[in-house]
Amino acid sequence: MTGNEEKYLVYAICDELYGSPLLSVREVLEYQKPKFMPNMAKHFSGVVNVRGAIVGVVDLRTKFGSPADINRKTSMLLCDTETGPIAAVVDHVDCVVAFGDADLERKPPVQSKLDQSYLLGVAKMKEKLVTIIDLNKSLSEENLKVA
Amino acid sequence: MDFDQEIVLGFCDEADDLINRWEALCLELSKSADDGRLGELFRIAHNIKGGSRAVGLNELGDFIHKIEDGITLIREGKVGFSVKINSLLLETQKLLSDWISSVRKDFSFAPDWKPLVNRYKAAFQGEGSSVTIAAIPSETSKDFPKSTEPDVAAPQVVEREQKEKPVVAAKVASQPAATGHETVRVSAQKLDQLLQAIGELSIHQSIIWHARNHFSSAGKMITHSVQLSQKLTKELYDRALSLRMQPIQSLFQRLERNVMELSTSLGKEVDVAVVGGDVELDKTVMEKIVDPMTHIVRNAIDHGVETAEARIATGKSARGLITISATQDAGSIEIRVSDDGKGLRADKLLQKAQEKQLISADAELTENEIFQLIFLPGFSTAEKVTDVSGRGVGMDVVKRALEELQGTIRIESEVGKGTSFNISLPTSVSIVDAMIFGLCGQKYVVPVTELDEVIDLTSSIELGEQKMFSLRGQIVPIIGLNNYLSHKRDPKSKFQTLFICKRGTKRIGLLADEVFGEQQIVVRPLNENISGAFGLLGGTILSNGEPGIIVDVPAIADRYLKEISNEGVAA
Repeated sequence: MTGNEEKYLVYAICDELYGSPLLSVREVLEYQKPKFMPNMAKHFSGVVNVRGAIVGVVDLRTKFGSPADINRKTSMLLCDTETGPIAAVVDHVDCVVAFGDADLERKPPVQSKLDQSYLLGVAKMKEKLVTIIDLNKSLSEENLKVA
Repeated sequence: MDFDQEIVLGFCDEADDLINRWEALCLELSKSADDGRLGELFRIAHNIKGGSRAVGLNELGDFIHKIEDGITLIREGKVGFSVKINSLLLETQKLLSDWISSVRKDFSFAPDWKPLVNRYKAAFQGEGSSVTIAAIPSETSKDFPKSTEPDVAAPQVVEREQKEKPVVAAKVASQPAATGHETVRVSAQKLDQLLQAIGELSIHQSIIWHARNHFSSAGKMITHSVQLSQKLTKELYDRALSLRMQPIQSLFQRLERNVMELSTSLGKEVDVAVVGGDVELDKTVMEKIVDPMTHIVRNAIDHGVETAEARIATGKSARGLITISATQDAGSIEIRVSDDGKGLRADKLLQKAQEKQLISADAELTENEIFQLIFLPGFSTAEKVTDVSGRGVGMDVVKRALEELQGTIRIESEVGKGTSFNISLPTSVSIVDAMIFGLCGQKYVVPVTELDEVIDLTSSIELGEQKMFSLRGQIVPIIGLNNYLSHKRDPKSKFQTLFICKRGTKRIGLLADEVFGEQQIVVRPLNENISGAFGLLGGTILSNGEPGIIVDVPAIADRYLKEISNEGVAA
């Protein structure tokens, strides 16, 4: 273990592993079916009740691939963005892990369907690669309303 | 001068807030001087001036009036803004803050502020301007001899004045603590958190209430205690909510006093009638309308009510009358300030607006639109700049302050008869009676106050694509709510319930599937990232724990009306 380590929450979307800085996720919630909200963007799934607060839901699975069925492991990551909390649906939450400089390559010159500005880096975890994304930024910049 | 303890202390609270803001502005100004900040500084000075005169602290009013003049000179560019002036502004802040805290103990307290004003004068001259000397009259030559304290060093004066006025101080101190109820300024955020927590509790309560149907074995006792605690929760919520509500009387009292003092100083004879002082208003709303209301009332006396001679000449009684009233409506509070003065001259207003190039010369406006012109920034009808009003800061600030509160202001006026300002403000809107309805398999919520009536649709006439309905002889167009809420028409939809919504003289029928019931809901504002979509007002949590979307039925009716009027143009 080297110094300069940061903890990441690792989660899976369509069989791919993703990670985000642990502190950017406020809490992990059990999946609940979002309630439809009219006149919103297509990738906006609806709203859920998080202990009395109404929180918008974005399905990251639709955004990053094709969504699998909802099962017991399906979870929601609740993030506090600048414009309010938002819940992101992921297939399952894997683990919390600390990546040091040795494991994490920041800003690798790779092409992906992700917007480069959300891509923080790629980390190695055992034999697998984890794409590290700035979840807060990606969710803050979502335009959820139909213009 | 006799002082009303509660009013003066109320003013002190507000002045403290303003003075705090003053300090912040000075600090910002030291980094970058811009007109926006100077403008705000000016408005603060203006507000303190108005407030201080209203509660009878005339010395303070006189002082801040001089400062206000100074800021005007800086804003007009007649004097350059410099570090020295900024430090004087900060000194002014200090003096004001000490002044206010001393006034709390002794209402007749007044320090010697003239040296500070003279230093402004010196600083302005140092900036190389000839205008300033004329604009700020020399204190030593005119006002100074009148002062009871010829000393120049302010701190000594403070001490001496306090010593010399033991009688007054004793009088204030010996006033019985009759008011008894001290006002505690609670941070609105804390109060909101409390409300939120209790609101949440009440949601869980209603979940339990619904769950009890499924546990028949739980027996009578549980049912009873659930009933009781439901009652308690509601009481708790109402109490917490009422913390924020205060009778509008204290505001009216202040305005009344304002009218009396101002009319005396302007040599006009004005009576005041106050109606509806027991109407309650949210505390924050009340605090925010103090200044706008003061402006309106001062305007009414200064511009509205004529002098006694002019009134007699037009066959009116010599004494003018200003009526201030409040009425509680279903979802709003209407405040009305009316005078029986000379009324607004539409032609004069129009001419003035064109002169000031606030509107184009060939603009055609209705009378009502012309009245609205006085809310434009920089518009002032006073012929000369007076102490009372007429700097053109008043009315646009009034409008902006009210709009921030989701309120509206409307003017009615008749030449020779008088003018009235009608202000409509929402009462505290966090708990409302609402109807839960179904549309295409989803549950939605609509506040009952938004609906004119709800009827079962039994028969309708079709006119081409458009469905119509005859409501007691009036033909009402029917539109499907689903068209505006991104729902495809569900073949299973019953389309039985018609919400009638009144827009002006027109009635619109909006079709939903069915009504599930009526209940009180706690309105949750939507977060910024999901708010603002068309047709949605906010959210709430329904009794089954699901989020409920509150539909803005009037907005949908308005959009429909706009659509058909556009079609009419196209055809």
